[in-house]
Amino acid sequence: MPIVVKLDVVLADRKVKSKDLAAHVGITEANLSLLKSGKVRGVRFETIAAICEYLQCQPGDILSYQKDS
Amino acid sequence: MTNISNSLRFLRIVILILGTVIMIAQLWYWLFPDTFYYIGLPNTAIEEHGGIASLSSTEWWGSFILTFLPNSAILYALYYLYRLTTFLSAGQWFEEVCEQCCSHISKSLFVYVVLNITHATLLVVLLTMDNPPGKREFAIGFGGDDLMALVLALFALTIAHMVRLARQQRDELNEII
Repeated sequence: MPIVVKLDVVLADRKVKSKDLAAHVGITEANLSLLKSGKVRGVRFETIAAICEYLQCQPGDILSYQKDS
Repeated sequence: MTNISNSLRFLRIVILILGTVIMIAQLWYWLFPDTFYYIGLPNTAIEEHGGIASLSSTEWWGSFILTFLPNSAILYALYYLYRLTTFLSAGQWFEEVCEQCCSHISKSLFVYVVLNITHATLLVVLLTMDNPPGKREFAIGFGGDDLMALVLALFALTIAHMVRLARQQRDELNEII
């Protein structure tokens, strides 16, 4: 999958706990963990917006594209 | 939701009544043909060849089995329709079992159409088998019942396909956070 989720890096930079982010976004910690590991088929715009709002960042900060080698 | 549960419960009762009526009518016609004329239409092929009373033992059993075959396909479809309503009551609208039930209903209705056409043909052949050459008959026909069953079979097949697509979409949506 060429899309890389960098949410764990942003969470560490902001010193935010996954539990707090999950509560703010309205998803379970289990789903947030799946999202962090990139093991999901897709992410809703609504979810990205809530994450960006809480972490004060842009979608590009948590998602990036890396071409498959 | 209560309305849906009540409708499904009502549908289950209707299915049970239908199944019972089909079995009783089949047995009644063959065991008590004289009284059957008051409640239902007798088999035209048998009536044209002298009625049940004129059948030999072999013809009786052969005709009984031949007329029971299409009914058994309908009973099979009703059994799966009953199972489908049970699954729907449990809220399993898009599960694989529902798709399989619809698929079974569809197949049994297709089988009903084939059996309904062939049973009439075989019945005439059986009843005129002992006739001298030139008096033996062969008839094949396609009636309104067959057409209706064919339409219902196509409906059931379409619903099975829709359930499969809905389940695939649901599974895909479940993987989107």
